[in-house]
Amino acid sequence: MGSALTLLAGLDPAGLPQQLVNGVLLGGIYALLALGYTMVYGVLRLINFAHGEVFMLGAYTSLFVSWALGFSPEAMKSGSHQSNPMNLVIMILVSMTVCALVGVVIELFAYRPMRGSSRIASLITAIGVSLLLQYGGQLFLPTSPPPSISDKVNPYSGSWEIPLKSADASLVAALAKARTEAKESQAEIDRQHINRFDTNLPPAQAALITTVETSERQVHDLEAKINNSSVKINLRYGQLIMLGSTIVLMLLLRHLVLKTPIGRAMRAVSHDFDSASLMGVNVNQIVTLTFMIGSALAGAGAMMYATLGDSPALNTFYGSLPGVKAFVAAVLGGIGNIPGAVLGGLLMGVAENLVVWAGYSQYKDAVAFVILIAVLLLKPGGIMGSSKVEKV
Amino acid sequence: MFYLKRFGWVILAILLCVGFESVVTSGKNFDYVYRMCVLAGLYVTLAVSLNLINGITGQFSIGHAAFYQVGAYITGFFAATGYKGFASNSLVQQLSHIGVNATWTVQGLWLVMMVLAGAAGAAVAGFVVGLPSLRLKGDYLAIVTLGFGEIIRIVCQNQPALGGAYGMKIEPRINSMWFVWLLAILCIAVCRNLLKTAHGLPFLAVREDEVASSAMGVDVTKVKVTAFVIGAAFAGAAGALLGHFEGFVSPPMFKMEVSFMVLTMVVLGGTGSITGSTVGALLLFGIPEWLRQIEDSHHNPILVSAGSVLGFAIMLVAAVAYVRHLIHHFHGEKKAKTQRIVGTFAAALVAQFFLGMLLNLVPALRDKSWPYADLRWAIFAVTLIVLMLLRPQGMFAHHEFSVARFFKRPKEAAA
Amino acid sequence: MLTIEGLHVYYGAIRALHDVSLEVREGEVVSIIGSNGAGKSTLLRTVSGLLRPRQGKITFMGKEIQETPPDQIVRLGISQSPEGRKIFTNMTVFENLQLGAYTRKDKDVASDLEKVMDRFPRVRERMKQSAGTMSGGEQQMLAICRALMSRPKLLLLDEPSMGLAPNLVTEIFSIVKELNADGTTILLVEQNAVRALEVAHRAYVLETGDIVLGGTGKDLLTDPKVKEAYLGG
Repeated sequence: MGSALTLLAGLDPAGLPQQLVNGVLLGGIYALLALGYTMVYGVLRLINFAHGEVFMLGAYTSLFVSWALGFSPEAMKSGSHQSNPMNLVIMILVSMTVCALVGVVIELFAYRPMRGSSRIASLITAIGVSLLLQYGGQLFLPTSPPPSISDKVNPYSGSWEIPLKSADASLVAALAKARTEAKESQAEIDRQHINRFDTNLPPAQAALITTVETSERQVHDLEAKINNSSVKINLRYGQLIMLGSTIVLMLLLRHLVLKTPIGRAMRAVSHDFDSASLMGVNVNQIVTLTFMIGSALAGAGAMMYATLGDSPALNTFYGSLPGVKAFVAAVLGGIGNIPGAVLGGLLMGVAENLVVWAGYSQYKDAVAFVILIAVLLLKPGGIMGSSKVEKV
Repeated sequence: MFYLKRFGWVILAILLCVGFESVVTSGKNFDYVYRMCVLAGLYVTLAVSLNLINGITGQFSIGHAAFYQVGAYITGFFAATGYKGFASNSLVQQLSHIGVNATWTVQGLWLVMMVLAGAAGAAVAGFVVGLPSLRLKGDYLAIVTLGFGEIIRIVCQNQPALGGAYGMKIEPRINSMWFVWLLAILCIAVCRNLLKTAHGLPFLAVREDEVASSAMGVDVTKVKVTAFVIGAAFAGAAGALLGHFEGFVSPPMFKMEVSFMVLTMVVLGGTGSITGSTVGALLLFGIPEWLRQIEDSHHNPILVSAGSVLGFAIMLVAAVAYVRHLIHHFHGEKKAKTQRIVGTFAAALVAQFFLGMLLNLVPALRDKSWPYADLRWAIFAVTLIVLMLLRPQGMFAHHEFSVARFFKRPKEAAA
Repeated sequence: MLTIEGLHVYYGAIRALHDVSLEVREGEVVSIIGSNGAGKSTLLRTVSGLLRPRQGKITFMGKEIQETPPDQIVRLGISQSPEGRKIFTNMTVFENLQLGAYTRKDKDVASDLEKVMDRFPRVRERMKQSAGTMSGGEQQMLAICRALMSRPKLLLLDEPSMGLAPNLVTEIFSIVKELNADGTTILLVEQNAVRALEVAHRAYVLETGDIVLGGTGKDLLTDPKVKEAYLGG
């Protein structure tokens, strides 16, 4: 009980809205990835372990495209670089295309031959593909030093501040007073040409310096206090673009799945291969298409995460953690369920940022697994899935 | 008589292991070989114990490194807090005069205790992980076991008491090769006896059909949890030995890749086959080590060019595709089928050599090259995929390898 | 219209059909009767392309189709209402019917839907409902409607009466007759031998993978062996 109270006391309520927003933004990326897992699971009943690696390849593709567009490390050293929105569009489109191709190739060479084998065998194949891309990728992709996409690529570097609660008025007044004090004493020092770093000053001048230092410290403290007493959300434009694109992609997917003949065919295939082919649906074509769409979404997510998000530097294991988390998101929402994947992704992002907010950022990767185990034990079908326990 | 015979086997096993160790240590510069033998023994234990869960009981666990880690960390914790007190304990001091060598006896006693502690701790973890298996099946269970492994690793990584990300030093280092192999033999013996006796039938029944076996009166819950507990205990014991052998433990030693590696050993050998897991462990541990070793007479690693790799990959894909075609669409005699499959691979092997030479004419492909050591995880992954594509049931499938079976078969076919 | 010659089908090493030959002529109803496990459904699945025969030839309107994938076979004009109905329970009735017309790009789909609905007024009532919530009889009707939506030249019906109440069975078989009268050729597989033989122009008896008897529906109804084995003496 006592420790719980100290825990609560240590929390910073002012930071919460910002962390929630960050969570939603990160969750959007997880949702894009989770859609791939859920769609593939829906049609093949296979956990596509290599999906995280498709994400990784998407990030690398974006990196190479950004280099080709003139943002390579060598080019960055010389002079200033102006980016424009077109660069982002090119990057996302190329990344999506490359990922779609990779997804198709993986399906064709590794998963299609495994149809009809046991699910365990398929799963091990998926693990094999994932390892192959991670370690095989190391042979061909630049990994050391780990490259990053230059943030100059993003033409929208500014941010938008939403004040939720303004700072304490008395603090603001105190700050203004402290600032004038500091300025006045500084002016006095300048006027007398006192060297601040001279250790052998007469007492009067030394006192003046002490005053300056005290008031400067006061300014600093007050600024921090004001910062804490006001509640605001800081939205970077890049993040907003990311969220917007994510929503657009999801709406497109929803339309495709629910309203078009191809979407109907996809749902039919996910219900039963044989019945679907008796309707004249080419099952192979639909499975390929599913991999294409899922991988393209991963490519879009990867480009946005690596360019606009707070992404770590690239290496060939770049996709494995987001991959695992997105998979958890898919299970959380009910695997095979498209709106569930989106909801699960958002929840995962928020949960992760809440853990960071609570001061346990070192555990933010473990929280995914804790959630996963809890969900599977309490509601194996996921939040939006059917509640029946899977019979294998 | 029965117990006498048992006892005889135990003595034989101990003699065998001690003999093995003395053969290894009799060589010059045996450090490396010794180390490899210890690690191989540990992997055999891991693979055979995972086989009990995955192969024999049919539960899909892919987080075996977690139990390994629990055992190692428990040892690390006790070694840091209790070893000095143990060594200076008066009873231990008295006991130490019995053996040939005082340190040897003290360390031996301690090691036995640590193996038991590691096994007990891992067994508890196995129990905890085994519980979800009552509700979850197939890939869902797989993910939970994987997640559990990651949680344990991340927690250890963030506990200053357990050394955090840097890990813990374990004093003293104990070179215990014969003990490692004794554990491996014990693990094999336990699994074998389980299969040979009536106790093992429920395990096999659960693997084949849970609903049917519970209808036949098998306590499915008990069987699954028992499998997890025994399997985890052996992994924990192996972890304890690893800790004292290496002299330290750290979180990266127990990454997901270790779990995958052990899983692949089991699958390669054939899920359910104890001999299969053993051979699988030796092969999969040995081959990457061997790849790491490949070097010329001046101790420079031999490089493979991108052209050769590409040639190999192309011919591999072609050969696998054709062999799959044979497996599914060739309905002739079994012998003819085998001949064709072997022939295909032989032809592909030769062809990849020439294709590689041809591709190496392209400067870009010739100039990019890697030592074999860099390729070993990629080779591992490819092996896994090819194995699943061609023989998902593993080398020995569900069977045990036996020399008699090997020779009998052709005769039966002829008759 | 459909000719099957010397068909051998295996599940792994297990033989399911052995040297099966039969013929369906345009405008006919042909029934295949046989007990459980005789290979009836295997035969239809092979015709639809879901199974590959190890040996033998299937010719449909002069074209060999034993190697053709199932979706192409639907496009050629063979449509099947599978055993156990296999409707898409997670979709609405309307979506099920739309899937039935998946292969069609012509403009008559809507008018065909009206025609089919006129014949099956009960299905029309359930248009917006999830298909999984319908009763067994309604699901069977839906499965037939769905198969008809592709405008098949040859309709394969696999056990349409399975699990249905007797009055519904009667309804189903009268529908089979009507469909045939409208010009659809039908290959019917049934365990309910009496009804199947009554409705058929010609029929075959399948026994553990072999065709053991063939003839007109009437002949088989009076055949002593058939009587003993399938018609309850």
